[in-house]
Amino acid sequence: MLRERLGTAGSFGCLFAVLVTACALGGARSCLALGLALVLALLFHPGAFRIVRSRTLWTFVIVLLGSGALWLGPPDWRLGSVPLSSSGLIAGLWMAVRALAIMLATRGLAASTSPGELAGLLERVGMRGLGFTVGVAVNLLPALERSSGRTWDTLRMRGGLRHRRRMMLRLGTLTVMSNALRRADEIAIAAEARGFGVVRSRPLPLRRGALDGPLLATLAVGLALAVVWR
Amino acid sequence: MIELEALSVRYGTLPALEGIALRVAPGEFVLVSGRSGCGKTTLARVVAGLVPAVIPAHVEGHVKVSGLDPTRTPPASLATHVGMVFQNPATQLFCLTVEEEVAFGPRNLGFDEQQVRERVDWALGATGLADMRRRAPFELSGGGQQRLAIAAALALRPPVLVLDEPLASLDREGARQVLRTLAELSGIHGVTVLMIEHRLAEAARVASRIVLMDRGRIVADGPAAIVSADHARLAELGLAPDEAQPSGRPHATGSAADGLALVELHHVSAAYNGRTVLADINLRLDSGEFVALVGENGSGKTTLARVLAGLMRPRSGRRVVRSGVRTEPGRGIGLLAQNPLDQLLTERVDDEVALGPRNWALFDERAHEATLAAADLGGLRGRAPLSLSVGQQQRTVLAATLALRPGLLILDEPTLGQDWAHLKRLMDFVAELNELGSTILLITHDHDLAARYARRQLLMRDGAIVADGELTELDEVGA
Repeated sequence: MLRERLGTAGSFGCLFAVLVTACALGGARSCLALGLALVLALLFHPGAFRIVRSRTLWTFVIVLLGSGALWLGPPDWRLGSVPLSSSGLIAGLWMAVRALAIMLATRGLAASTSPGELAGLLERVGMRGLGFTVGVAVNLLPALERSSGRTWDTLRMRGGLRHRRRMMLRLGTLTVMSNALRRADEIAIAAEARGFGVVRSRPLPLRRGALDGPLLATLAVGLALAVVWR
Repeated sequence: MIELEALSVRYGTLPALEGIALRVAPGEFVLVSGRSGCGKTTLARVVAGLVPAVIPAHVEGHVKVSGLDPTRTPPASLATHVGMVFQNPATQLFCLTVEEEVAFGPRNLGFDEQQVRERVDWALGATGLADMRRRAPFELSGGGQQRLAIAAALALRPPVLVLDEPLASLDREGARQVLRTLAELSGIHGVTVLMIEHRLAEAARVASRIVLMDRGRIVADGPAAIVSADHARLAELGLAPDEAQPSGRPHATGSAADGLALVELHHVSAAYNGRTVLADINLRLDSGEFVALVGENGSGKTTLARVLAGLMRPRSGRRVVRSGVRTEPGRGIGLLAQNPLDQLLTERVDDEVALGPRNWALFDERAHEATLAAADLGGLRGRAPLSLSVGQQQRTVLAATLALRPGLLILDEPTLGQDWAHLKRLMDFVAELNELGSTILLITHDHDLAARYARRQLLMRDGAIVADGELTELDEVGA
């Protein structure tokens, strides 16, 4: 299988390429970032597609679209009595496309690479300590999804968004954020309790894959073209 | 190996430990127990070097572990001297395979790959995980994950292993596996074990010594056989049933059952990520019943609870709630989920318990006070839930669930972090609700608790209900 022929560097390269494309290309061209994320996920990280079942993801997309239509650009149409902007809606759409691309690529990396491997990769290029931090950050996305699901269940158990909508939404959001940060803390404590430290950490071994080199070269050429095109 | 003298710890102004004196010799297996909030976890964290380095606290006194002072040694440097296994194994596993997880520590210490392999092989062998090295940690059962957490700590070959309630969320077999592993580590490999645990009856069989704590102090310390036989003392500390009280089902006689179905599942199947978790479940719960649901970790109990509570839609089959019964999650059917941290939303215990009734515009001061009293939360009502012990957090969440007085109350492992006295108090309150007509579904690994309170028991295995009947009938099928 293709994904077994991809090592740590190749997996990280996939996320890096999607991040650069999403940041470099704006407007309708951000669809290229989503296209790249979809192709890479299809080839190497099919498990990342589980994200499409996430309520959090679709809530986030709706929030982006809604806030774009409400607050970005001049209002030029109405939904009932609410003034909306079609240019803002389109701007929100491109933001959502970029966010989808980045989340898909992040999910792919989280499913294929552990924080320890990322630490090993980035420490080799002199970024001591950063690799593990990136690994923990990547790990936060699935943690955030799980946490938001459980918190939503709890909110429903307390009556949901029945009478005190604003307060319940605020409590839910804060709980999701604090749980995700706690997860990051727990990983850091568990790693430290097993001898991990910025000062004394050693270059951890990397998974090497036959496709790492060709994929990274292709992505590098593609990124260069994208930057020139921009 | 472990020397504590005049050890006192305060979190802000709150005292956690006072004047602790404890000496543990190399190779000893010491079990530390006491009611929830008595300071056991703080004791473990001090020995493991997490307090005050990671968790800020004011520490006084003398602490030595393997000749080092853990209060002044960075946790990363202490890792080769003390291994720490936390209560929830899922929070300490972050690699993609079992093998990688165990190799993480030795690699951090700079060993070459040959040495790393040797340590991984030894740790996996000692914990009985050698055949699972290629599996993903999150695919293992609760017992498997707990053993993996132990293996990951052991790979650093620490002479001291500290475990904080490693049996809390394990079924009987999982608990047996973990205890067997720990007994071998202590007896064969000479590892000093300091284990915090509420499940005294099981853990006392393998420990050489038991230390009992109350309100931050050590109140008993002696050979396991002697301390565990002092039932009066254990009952006084709320760690075991009081033998002077009548045993059996004190409240829940099921007399309120009216023979009418409250909720029914017809041929229900459910799946997560394409994996079938429930298969063709048929179940009927009547009004006023007190039912226990037992089964191994991963058998589908929690998924069944979520389907019953209306939090998860079945893939196929039907859930039917009796006409006239409220179907909204929380009010009609309340679910206490396993991990309290996911269910705490507010900044005060008082607000947490009142949140549901206020949101439903049903708040009643007398009912609120009764709920707080039943959960023994009166003295903690102004505290931040996240600052409480796991047992106290669990009581807060249970009180918040009970506050809406749901017609069907589902309790998913309410024993987490609870001492016997608090558990009994809560369960007696639940039994009173049952007497008043509420239906109770108790999901537990604690067969004694199930036997004490429930009349009917369900046994799940591999996503199916394989037995449904009275306790004696289930004993015959090996529940």
